Amino acid sequence: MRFEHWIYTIPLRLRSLFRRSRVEDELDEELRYHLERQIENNAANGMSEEDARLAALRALGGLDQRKEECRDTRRTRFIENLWQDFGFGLRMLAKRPVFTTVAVLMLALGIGANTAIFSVVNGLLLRPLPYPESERLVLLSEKNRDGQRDSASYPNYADWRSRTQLFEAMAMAWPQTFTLTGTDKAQRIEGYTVNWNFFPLLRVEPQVGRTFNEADDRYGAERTVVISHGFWQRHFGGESSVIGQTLRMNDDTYSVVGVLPPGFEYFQRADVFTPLGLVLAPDSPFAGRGNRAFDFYAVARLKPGVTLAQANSEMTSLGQQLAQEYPQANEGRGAQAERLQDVMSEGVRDSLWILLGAVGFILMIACINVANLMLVRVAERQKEFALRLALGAGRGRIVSQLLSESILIVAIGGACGLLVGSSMLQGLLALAPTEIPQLSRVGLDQRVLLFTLGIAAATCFLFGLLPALQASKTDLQTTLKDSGRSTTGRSPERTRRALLIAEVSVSLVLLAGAGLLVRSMWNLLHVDPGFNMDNVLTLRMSLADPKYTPQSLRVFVDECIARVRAVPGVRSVAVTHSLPIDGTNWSGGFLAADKSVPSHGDLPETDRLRVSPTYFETMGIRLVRGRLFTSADTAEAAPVVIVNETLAQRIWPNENPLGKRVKFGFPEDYDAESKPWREVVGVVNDVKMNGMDQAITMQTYLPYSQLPNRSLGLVVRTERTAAVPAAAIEQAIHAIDKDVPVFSIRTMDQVLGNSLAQRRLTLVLLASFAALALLLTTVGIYGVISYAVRQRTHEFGIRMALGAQARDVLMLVLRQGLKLTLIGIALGLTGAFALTRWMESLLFGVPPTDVLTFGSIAVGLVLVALLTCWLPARRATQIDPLNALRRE
Amino acid sequence: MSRPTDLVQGTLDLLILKILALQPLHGWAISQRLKQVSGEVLQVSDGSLYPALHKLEQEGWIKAEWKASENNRRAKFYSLTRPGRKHLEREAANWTRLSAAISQVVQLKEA
Repeated sequence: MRFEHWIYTIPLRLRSLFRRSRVEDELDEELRYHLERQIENNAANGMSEEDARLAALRALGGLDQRKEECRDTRRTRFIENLWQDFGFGLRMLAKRPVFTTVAVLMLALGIGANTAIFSVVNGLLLRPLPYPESERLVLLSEKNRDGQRDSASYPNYADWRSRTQLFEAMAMAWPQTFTLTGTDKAQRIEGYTVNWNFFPLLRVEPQVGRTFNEADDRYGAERTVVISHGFWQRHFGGESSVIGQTLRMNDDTYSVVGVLPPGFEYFQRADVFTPLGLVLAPDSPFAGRGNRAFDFYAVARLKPGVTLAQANSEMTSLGQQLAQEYPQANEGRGAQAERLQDVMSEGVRDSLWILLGAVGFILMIACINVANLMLVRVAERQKEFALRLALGAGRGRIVSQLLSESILIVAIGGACGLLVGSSMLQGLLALAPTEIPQLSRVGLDQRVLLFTLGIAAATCFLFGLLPALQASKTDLQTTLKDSGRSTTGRSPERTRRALLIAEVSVSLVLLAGAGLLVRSMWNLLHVDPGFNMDNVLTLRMSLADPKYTPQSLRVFVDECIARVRAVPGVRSVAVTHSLPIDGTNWSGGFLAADKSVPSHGDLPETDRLRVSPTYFETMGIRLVRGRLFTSADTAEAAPVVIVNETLAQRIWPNENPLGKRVKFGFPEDYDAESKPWREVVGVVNDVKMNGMDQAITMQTYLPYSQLPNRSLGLVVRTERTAAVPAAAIEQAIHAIDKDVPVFSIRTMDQVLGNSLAQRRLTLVLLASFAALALLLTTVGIYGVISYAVRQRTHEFGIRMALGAQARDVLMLVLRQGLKLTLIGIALGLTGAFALTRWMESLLFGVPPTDVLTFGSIAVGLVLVALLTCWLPARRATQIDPLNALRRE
Repeated sequence: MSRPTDLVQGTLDLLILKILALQPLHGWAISQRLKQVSGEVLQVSDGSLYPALHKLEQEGWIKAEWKASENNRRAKFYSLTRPGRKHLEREAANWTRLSAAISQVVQLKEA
């Protein structure tokens, strides 16, 4: 029935739309036919020709109205109108290229910035991790005495695994760096040492071969390795015969059993995965329940239906059980479960939300500006609208006309915004530190496109509706009567001012946020690191080859120092295994011989560094008391230690630390013969070991020769003028042993830069957004004030004719601009006080409501506003009263 | 307004459909026929006829065809479609029921 109906109606609708002129012609012809017949009829009844015609027309009651009624029946009115509106809109926009360009540009910047930042938010925070049912994945860790996440000891982890009720599976994953040999030059490759069920737990299927099975994950098993897709391509040329081939890593031979799918990523990029069981010798350090020197964090999958809170409370109670059972190793410590994605994104989460807020503000400012432009245009077109209303256009038609112009602007702006956004995103990804987990998954996807479409629609609504409604309120009488100037009532003027105030306040909030970040960065760069950072080159090397015994390590280090010292441009050289700022990779508890033995919970901890005697001189670390290490502090000499001022102050507040004895270990080691007491021979100044934004730790230095180590770093102080002789230094090392991989060659400035990279990125982004906001606001202020001046030309003319001086007019305009700006600033400051506390985690050495920052930003904004108002104000003073009055 | 106030809403449509059910006609002929059949009682202006015709066409009850008219000129002839015929039956039945009911009410004796 319905269908039969459509046979008739659909062709008619299509005809009305696409054969419009034909349909119109037919309508004309039909009505003409009627008129002719009626005229003939009337004439036949004896009327004169003229009367017959008039009577026929009268009977129809207005030809054009009848036609319009017939058109109304076609049901395609809406589409036709829209079509017409868009066509007209396009012509209007083309006629005002400046307006159109400015509006499109502002929207493109606003939408683009939002698209770029949202892509990152989407990739890192919103999209689930690329593992099936990833919402059930958690990271298990211990909690240290301060309640912070800390690595687990293997025995504790093994107990979690055997006692848990709520987890489907748990697997340990330990980030490891391997030395790959057997190629022309030794290479460092990143990897993970994992339990066999790591891959099945994440539900990752190998692309080639297999992943591990239980038999691989045992001490003494044959050495196997699973490689990444990228490594397979690079190292094996992507050949499927890779299975069964071998890799020489850390001087062991591993056979390749599988290749992972492309794009697989855990926390950091990794090329090789080896079974953890291989290193779990019964007597290895991993067996120690108190040993947390390794980055042991476990990944686990919750049983279906188990919540994170339940899992976390199970972990908490497991932690308590283990603390009771093994107080020596676990007292004061706990265990916890956190959502894997939260942990992966925690480094960037705060920054990202803040940046997303910032770009939201920018879009708001852009919308306000475009709305203001539109309002001005509406005011200028008041006459046109009044005329259309008078000629019978519905107010709805006026609204839809303006809305379609807005839609056009947004459509063009949105399309440009997408382009701007994707190039912004490229730039942002190029600047971003590569350590951010899952960064490779950031890109434009469907959700980003939807988001862009959504904000474009919201934008259109925000800036399009207000002017449209304003226009539809056009007062016919006054507008048409008023012949000379286009006048606007008080209400659009008020709207524009309100918008300007909103704009100023939003931009103040952004500027305040950026200002706080700038101050934080300034503070960070002016923190005293405790050493001289200039002209220091650092590198790392790894002496994994078993041929290196403690004795041959000492020989290697001595020779290495001597050879590098001989390189031209090198002033001094030293060995250390941890670099300042980069972070300590060795720390633990210690005891002081003259203090009472602490409980496990109160055991003090210190960062430990093994250094060669020249370390302090090379780094410019100052001796405060006692002496530095000398070449006499050999393995056979008495064990010695140098401490930093913080340690000396905390352990021996009012005593002379020199000659005191300390021992590294646990309380029960106090009497153990195996761990020697070390005499404090010197005190040096504090050094920022773990980053400029971290607190000073207690630090102890040990002579390298008394505790040789396979992984070490070299610090080289070079001449001020010389080009950094990095290649020559590397050659000098390889002249001793060509199989020693040398890597991470960086100047100390680069180490610092690296540690601040993420902060710097946030700062650069927020500062650029704030600058953009300021620019847009300036454009906005200029637009509103100069329009106001144009509106008041007549008034100023009268004032000047009545004796007002140029200065009075100038002040009048400036005062108007200043008043609006000040209200905006007051609102903005309130907003900033409320909002900046969300930034607290990004700040350093500055409170989130720093009066100095806020104050200087406010003053700066006032100055900018005054400057912006100056131009239109100048123009106002140059009004010729005669001209202004004559224009009436 | 062109719509006669004394014509119940939809009645004009019913009249047009009924007239076209008898034979296909063009607009002027329909207007003549309307005047003939209803005499002076129903005042249907020419003005309201065409919008009504176009509406019925757009709704698919009637269809149009250009043909030579009785005086050998091109004219737009309207005729009923199949759905239109069914619609007419329904509407006619409704009308009969409605008018019968109203007559009954109107003829009630006053006490």
